[in-house]
Amino acid sequence: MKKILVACGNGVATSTVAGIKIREACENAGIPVEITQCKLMEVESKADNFDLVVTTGVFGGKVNTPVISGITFLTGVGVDKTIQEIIDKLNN
Amino acid sequence: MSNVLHFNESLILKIDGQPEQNELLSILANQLYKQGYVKNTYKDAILEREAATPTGLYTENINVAIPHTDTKHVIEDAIVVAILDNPVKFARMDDPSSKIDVRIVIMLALSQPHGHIEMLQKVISFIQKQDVLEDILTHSENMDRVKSIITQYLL
Repeated sequence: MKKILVACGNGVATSTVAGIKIREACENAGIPVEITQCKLMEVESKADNFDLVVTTGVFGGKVNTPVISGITFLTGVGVDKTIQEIIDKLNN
Repeated sequence: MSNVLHFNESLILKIDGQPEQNELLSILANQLYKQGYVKNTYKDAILEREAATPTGLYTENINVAIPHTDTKHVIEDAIVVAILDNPVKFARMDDPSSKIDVRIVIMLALSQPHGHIEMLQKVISFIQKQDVLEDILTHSENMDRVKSIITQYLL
């Protein structure tokens, strides 16, 4: 089971939508995932416990876990590329 | 706590003139306040949040912003939609140093985190239906038509 932290400005709205789409994409790719949502400002303290961080807003901090932008889950523009990037990182 | 999400035609506004971003956000927040869905702290919280973590979504065509803020300022869940005659500048969610022209604003008032998943998904898939958004802007003088299109996708 891979663990993904999905973060947005206040952990309320856009991380919910992105999280659902990430779960769907990973399951389609045969990767079981556990999704946790949080606020962007919580990413630094939480990231170590996850395999991957996906953010809809900008994360300016530094963490050891790979961080990917998930804005395409909201705009729809280039979402296939983001999904591939997530799958590649999880398989790494 | 109520689970109803309030959205109806009185929460779809056409904004003419050329308001500044703060002015526009205040109009929408006041609409939610007047209908009793948010506390009197909501408006300032929206303005602060938009400045700190902006919500402009760059779609390469019709850009949309989805302002929202902490759940503690919300009484009952609701959304208000604004169709703008003239674009208003918003900073991009994924790149706050870039300003984009936004034509449609969907302000969310959510009282619980991770709630209203279905509605949020509807809002996001609506934003991605660029042909529908174009249709709305092209016919924005006919608000009856605009309202019926928007309620068809969001209700």
